[in-house]
Order: sequence, then structure tokens, then C-alpha cells
Amino acid sequence: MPQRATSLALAAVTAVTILPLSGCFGGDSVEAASGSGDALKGASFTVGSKDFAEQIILGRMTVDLLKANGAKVTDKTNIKGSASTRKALVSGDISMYWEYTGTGWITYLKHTKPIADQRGQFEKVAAEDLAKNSIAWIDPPAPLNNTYAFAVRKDKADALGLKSLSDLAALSRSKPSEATFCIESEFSTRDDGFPGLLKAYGIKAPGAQVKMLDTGLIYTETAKGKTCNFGEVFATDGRIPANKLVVLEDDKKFFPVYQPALTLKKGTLEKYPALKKIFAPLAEKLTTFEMQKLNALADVEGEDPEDIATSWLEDNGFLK
Amino acid sequence: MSDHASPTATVPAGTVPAGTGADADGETATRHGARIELADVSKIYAGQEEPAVESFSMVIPAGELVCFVGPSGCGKTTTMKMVNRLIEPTSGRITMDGEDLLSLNPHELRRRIGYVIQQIGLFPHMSIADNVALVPRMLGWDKRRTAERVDELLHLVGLEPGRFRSRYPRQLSGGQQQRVGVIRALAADPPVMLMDEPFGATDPITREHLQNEFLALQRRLRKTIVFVTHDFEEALRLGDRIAVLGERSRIVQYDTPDRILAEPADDYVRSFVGGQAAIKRLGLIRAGDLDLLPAGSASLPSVRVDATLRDVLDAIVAHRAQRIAVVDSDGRVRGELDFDSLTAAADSGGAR
Amino acid sequence: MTAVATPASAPSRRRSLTGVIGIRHLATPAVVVVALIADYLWVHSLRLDSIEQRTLNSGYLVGRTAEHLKLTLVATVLIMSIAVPLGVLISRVRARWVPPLVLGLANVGQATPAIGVLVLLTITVGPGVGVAMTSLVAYSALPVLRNTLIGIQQVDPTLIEAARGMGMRPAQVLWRIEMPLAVPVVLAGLRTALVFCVGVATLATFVNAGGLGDIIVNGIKLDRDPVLVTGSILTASIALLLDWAGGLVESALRPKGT
Repeated sequence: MPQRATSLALAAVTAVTILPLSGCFGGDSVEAASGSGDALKGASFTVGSKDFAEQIILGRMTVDLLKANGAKVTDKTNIKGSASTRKALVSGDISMYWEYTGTGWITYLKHTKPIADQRGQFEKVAAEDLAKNSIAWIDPPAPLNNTYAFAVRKDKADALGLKSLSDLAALSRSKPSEATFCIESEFSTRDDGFPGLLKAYGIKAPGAQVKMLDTGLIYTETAKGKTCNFGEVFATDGRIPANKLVVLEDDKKFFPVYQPALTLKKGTLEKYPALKKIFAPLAEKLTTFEMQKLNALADVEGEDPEDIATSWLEDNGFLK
Repeated sequence: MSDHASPTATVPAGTVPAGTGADADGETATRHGARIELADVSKIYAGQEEPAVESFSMVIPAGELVCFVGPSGCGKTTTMKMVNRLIEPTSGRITMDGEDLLSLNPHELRRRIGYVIQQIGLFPHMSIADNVALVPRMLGWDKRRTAERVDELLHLVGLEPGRFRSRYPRQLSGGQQQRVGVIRALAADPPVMLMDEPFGATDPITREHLQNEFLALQRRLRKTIVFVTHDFEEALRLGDRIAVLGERSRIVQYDTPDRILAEPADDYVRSFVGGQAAIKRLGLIRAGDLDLLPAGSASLPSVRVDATLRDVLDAIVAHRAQRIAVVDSDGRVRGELDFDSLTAAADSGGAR
Repeated sequence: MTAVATPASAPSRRRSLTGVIGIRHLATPAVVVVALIADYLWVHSLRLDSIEQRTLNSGYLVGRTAEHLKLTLVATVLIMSIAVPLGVLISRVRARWVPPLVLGLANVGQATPAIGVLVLLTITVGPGVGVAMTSLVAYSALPVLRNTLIGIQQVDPTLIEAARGMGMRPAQVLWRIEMPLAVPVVLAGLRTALVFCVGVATLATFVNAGGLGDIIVNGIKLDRDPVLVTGSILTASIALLLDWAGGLVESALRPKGT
């Protein structure tokens, strides 16, 4: 998924609406009291994550599962900045974190053109990262796709009859004044972002109708509908349903795929091959729908990501 | 210069305005002092029960320099500042040549009264010329008149205008700054000056220098001056009259220096006079003011006509002389003095 | 990277304007020029991908730099026209509790994270340059306000006594004595505010107000070092040059004789 990590406004938005991020740096390395095995007995790991709800929830799930399998775990979730998180993995400060296929491909492997096919994108990024940087991506990635999307108020979408980005392109020609956009500034510069989108769909968006905002503000401004009708959002974000927004379908499959997979150093995986068996079943359960619900619990209801992770694992039979 | 009808008329008889002579030298005509009267003036600060100044009444004759002497906190500065209304009196009347000062606009009043403070208060960001020209400019003098006045005043205190005009206060010595402070107050030729320990912050040598210079200046200008000091010697040297003030600015004695030395009103005044009153009195009398004995042929130790009798006594003791010659500035012998001349002068209170 | 050329020509122009520039005054512009040239050469030696090219082109850089300068300078003008009169006003107030209260409020403005002010304002009134300007002013006004107050308070009271004794009206005392003597202190506050503004203006990118924040945030989010470094160097250069220019103005406006 795109890097919300550096969104400096997150703290401020948090203050207004959402989650108290307590206990994320607990650093506790307590042996799991109950567990689904002792496959990792004697092993110790440090788990990282980026600094937004989805990442922290994924990180806490990882902590719980590792402990349940007998490992000692240090919790270093909620690292400021996407690049810092990746650097922490490369330098060995953390043993693992969940990374998104699109991010790995474009941000770290410095490609500019994404691969449309989900499976193809995963295989390419996993192979190249392993070969170039000795970073392993655990297969399979989660089916959820936290990609870019454009959201619009539900009543507006209904009134204008909008379902897909192609509908939006048509609208931009028939009612140009309605085609107003809120995007992040980074989105305006990437090939898989705004420039490519306009080209792929033939959307007309004069500069004055494109406002560049902080990620957090895009949700509130799109919900108000004054600054813009269409906001660039992340597909799994809990604030989409919370703000009564709907996502327009990417019917031409333009946006890159952002599926999360647990990334770790090649050596770590070789030493503990059990990790693959432990995390594959978890990944398989994480769908976009499921993740949106969990994110909303954190971002909208203000629940603790740690509690969200633990109860979800219990509810789904990963923890007893 | 318009609103004062012939202020010179109020100069007491017997005091010949020396300024008239200066006019012939090409200086602008000088406005002499105005008579100041304070009647029943009191000051009670808000929230205080005790008045700072209580029922102060005093007449200051035109052209005289009156020293207010008293311990610090006695209200002498407060009393002085009520004249230019930096402090507003709570009650009473203050007049200047009969004009009620309390009915005037205080800012305009202050431009007509020179003001010199101990810290001098030259504005560091203005040149000497600009400092001196402030009040004339506020009064709307034209450029040429102002510039001429500035140069004239700088000359008056021995500061070469070409050298000092465009300097800044920081570039001047303390004594030079104090001279500028005085001429700044004189700039618009006010009839009245208020001086608050103006020489208090200078070293003793500079102070004596400034005092003598100032005295010479005042002899020519004949301003009416209220001069606050806690230094009784200074008051003796400069004052035409001295007001010894007690608490709440009560006037304990208001008289000429000689009378205060000769007849202190009470122990309080005596404590100011201190010892050696007789010697101090001699210090008030100038040799040239006495009837001199005819000059003899013998060559004698000499003093100048402007030396005090204290200097004469000093010469008598120093040279073990019976007589001392008094010479004028050209060295011409005017006459002689002996010890008896001194005692006689002390008895009579001098010729002042 | 045509932006490189602009600061380089600044020193010579200054020299002819003020004539007060010595060799030591040229150190800052020299450092800036060297940094900009080094960055230019480095970026030119790289093969930029399409993401980097969209940012690292002269049109984009000059546009963002101009926006940044405009934000900073307009905010500074606003700060001057608000904080200086306000500082003067509270220096006149008799009530002792007023200055600490006003300074306290200004302190709150500075202590509140600028990004928080930006976001809150955007949520209430909508995004744009106005919001960015408001938070810039709220964030950076304190040094000017405080220094105006201090600048006036530090004027030797005997000077004010002398001025009043000479018959100056309160307004004349203010304009002819207190303000000129407060100028160096006020300008020092202004320099601080300028540098604050340059920094905080990078946040304008979050509320559709442009500036060099666009470049820096892109560089960070997409992990493109050439973009991040160029944005940072441009921002730092503006801060250094404005502070440098502020210093020149300060020595030019410092009242003579002090």
C-alpha cells in the first residue's frame, strides 16, 4: 500500500478523531502462556510496523502468533515513516514487518510501472527483492488490496449515477465543474498515480480543480463535498464507510496492487522455516472487507489496535 | 518668544543682566528668567495617606538660581517636577510671571521650561545637533534658525560645532555629554530651567569644572533655575538662594547661602552646613567684591579678582604673608587685602 | 534547477544597494551557492526515473520555490503588521497582567503544533493558502510580538523621562525615541519569525497551499533521495538567505550611535 507512514498530520487527526496508540512500544518479551505449539521455542524476534492502524494491527497479530508458537518477541510496531520501517528491517533492528507489493515494487525497487496482475506483481517483487536485497516475502500475500481508490459521498454517487472510474471520466467531460479532486501531493507525481490515471481513463481535471491535501484531511474534505467531490483514498481504510463514502471501481485495473505480505531477511526464514506455515493461514484470512472492519474499529471507534488484533485472532481460531 | 511680555522687567533690581553685553557679540537675544510662585502646592500619590509634598509655598525671583537641598526622599525632586508637571500637583497653584501653569497644556508648558536630569538622557540614536535641536524643532523653528542656534550653543560650552555637531552621544566624554544636556535644555531659550542633580554623576574634578562653567553661563543668561541637589557644597557654590527642605518638602530655611551659613534656622540646617561655617562663608565672597586696600609698592603674593576670600586666606597662610595683592585678568594690581579684611567681610556678610 | 541561479546573483545586487557588505557578509550566500551547485551536479549525474523527473525539473522547482517564498514573505508582512502594533499596544497598557496574558496566548500559538492548527482550520473552513497563512502567522508571531514588547521595555527609562521633560507627547516619545531604539530587538525577532515561517511553510503542502513541502513530502513518501535532498536544500537555502538578508537589514536599520 502507499506510504501513509510519513503523514505528519496523523498525530493531529488522531487528536481529533481516533485511536490512543497505547502499549505499542511495550517491548515485552514474555513467553506465550498459551499457544498453538512450540515450533519457535528458543527463537526471539522483533516485530515492526509502520505507523497507521492497519500496520499496527497486522504487527500485533504477528506478535501474538509468534508468542503463541513459543518465541520471545519484542514489539517495535508503530515506526514513524515507511522508509524508516524498511531500513529497520534491512539493518536488522526489526526481524519482520508486513509490506505491500506495490510499495516494494515502486518505492524500494524503484520501478515506475506496476504490474497489473496481482499474482504476477507478488511474484515479481518477491523474486527481485530476494535476489537484490536478500529480503524474503512470505507466500501467499493477504488477499486484501490496500490500493489507491477514489471515494465519493454515497448520495453524490447515487445522484450522478457513478459506479466506476470510467463513469467519473464521462462525468469530467459532461459536467466538468463536478470533477473536483483531493489528492496527496505524492500521488500527483507517480506514474501509477494521478498523471497515469488521467491518461488511462481520459479524465479531464484542470489544475484548479485538483487540491493537494494531507491524507487525513482528504477523508473529511471529501465527506463535506465542498473542497472536492472525489478523494484519493486507501481501499481498506475504515474511514471510507465511516464517512459514508463509496469507492469507485477501478474497472480498467489501473492502480497497482498493494497486497501485504510478511517480509523478513532471507536468513531468518531459512533458520525458521516454520514461519511460513504459521503465517500463510493468517494471510489467507485477511480480505479487504475484513481489514476495513478492523481499521474502522481503530480509526473510527478508537479501539486499541492491540486489542483489535488479539480478539480477531481469538475469534478466528488462531489463539485459544 | 512671543508669549512673554518683557520678562526682563522682573529681574530684581541690582542684578544687572550680563546677557545684554553678550548680545553685542552677535548672539541671539537671551530671554531672562521669569518669576515662579508656588502656592500651597501638595502632592498625594494615589493609595498613600501621607502626602509626598505638603502645602509648599515659595516665590522664586526671576533670574535667580534656587537650590533645593535635602535628604533623598524628602520630596525635593517631586516638588521640582510639579513645576513642569511631569508630576501633577494634587492641589495648589503654580504661576510663572503670573500665568497659571496648571491651566496650560502640559506638553507645551514643558517646551517652555528647560529640563536637565542627572542621567543626562541624551538620545543615543540622535546626533548631538539633533539632540540639541529637538525642542526648537517641536516649536516649529525653521531649519536655518535651528542650525544657527545649535552652533551658537555648542560654542557657548566650548564644543567646536564642526567637530561635535554630527557626533553621537556615545562618542562624547561624560563632561561633554553633560554640557550638551545643559545646552539642549537651553536650546529654545526658555525663561525657566529645572535641573535635577545635573552634575551628580560626574567625577569631582569634572564636576567643579562644570559647576564653574555653568555659573559663568548663568551669570550671562540669568534664567530662573530650580536646582535640586543633595550636595550642600554645590548649593553654596551655585545657589543665589538655598531652600533647605525637610520631610514632605517642608521648607526649613529659604535664604541666601551666606545667611544660611551665618544664621542656620535650626539644628537640622546646621547639620547640613556642617563645620567650618565661617570658612565656607569666605568661600562665597569674591576678592574683587570687597573694598580693597590701596596697593603698596612691595611685591606680594597675588590672587585674581574672581578668587574667593577662602583662596585669599589660603594664600595668606601658604605664603605667611601679611597682605595679598588682588590682580585683574591682565595681571594689573587692583589693590590689596589683609587678614582683617577677611574677618570684616565675614562679619558683614560680604558685599554680595 | 534554474533556481540555482537566483541566489547566486543576490550578493552583488545587495552590494550595490547598501554598500555595507564586507567579505564576512558573503559567507552565507557562498555556502548556499556551493550547496545548490553541489546538489545540481549530483542530481545531474543520476539517471532519474519518471517519478523523480516529475519533481526535479526547473519549472516545478521554481514554481514550488516561488510559492514557498510567497508564503513566507506574505506571512512575515502579516506578522509585522499584526505583532508590532500589538506589541506596542500592550507595552502601553497600564494593567500589569495584560502583557503576560497576550504573550501567553502567543506562546500557545507557537506551542501548538502548526500541523494541528492547519488541520483543525482546514476541517472548519476548508483548505487553501488562507489556512496556511493563518497557521504560519499564529505559529511565528510570538518572537516579533515578544521582541517588540521587550524592545520597548528595554529603552532606558531616563531617556523617556528626558523626552517627556522636553515636552514630547506620548506619540512623539513612541515614534522618535522608543521605536527607533527598539528596532534592533524587533528585527531580531523578525529574523527568528522568518526562519520559523520558512520551516512551517513546508507544511502548506498538506492543505493545498504548495511550497517546497510538496517536494520534501514526495521525497520522503516515495523514498526518492534526490527529491528529498533537493527539497531540503532549497528550503534550507531560503531560510539561510532570508536570515542573512534580515541581518543586513538589521545592521542597516540599527539606529546610528547605538
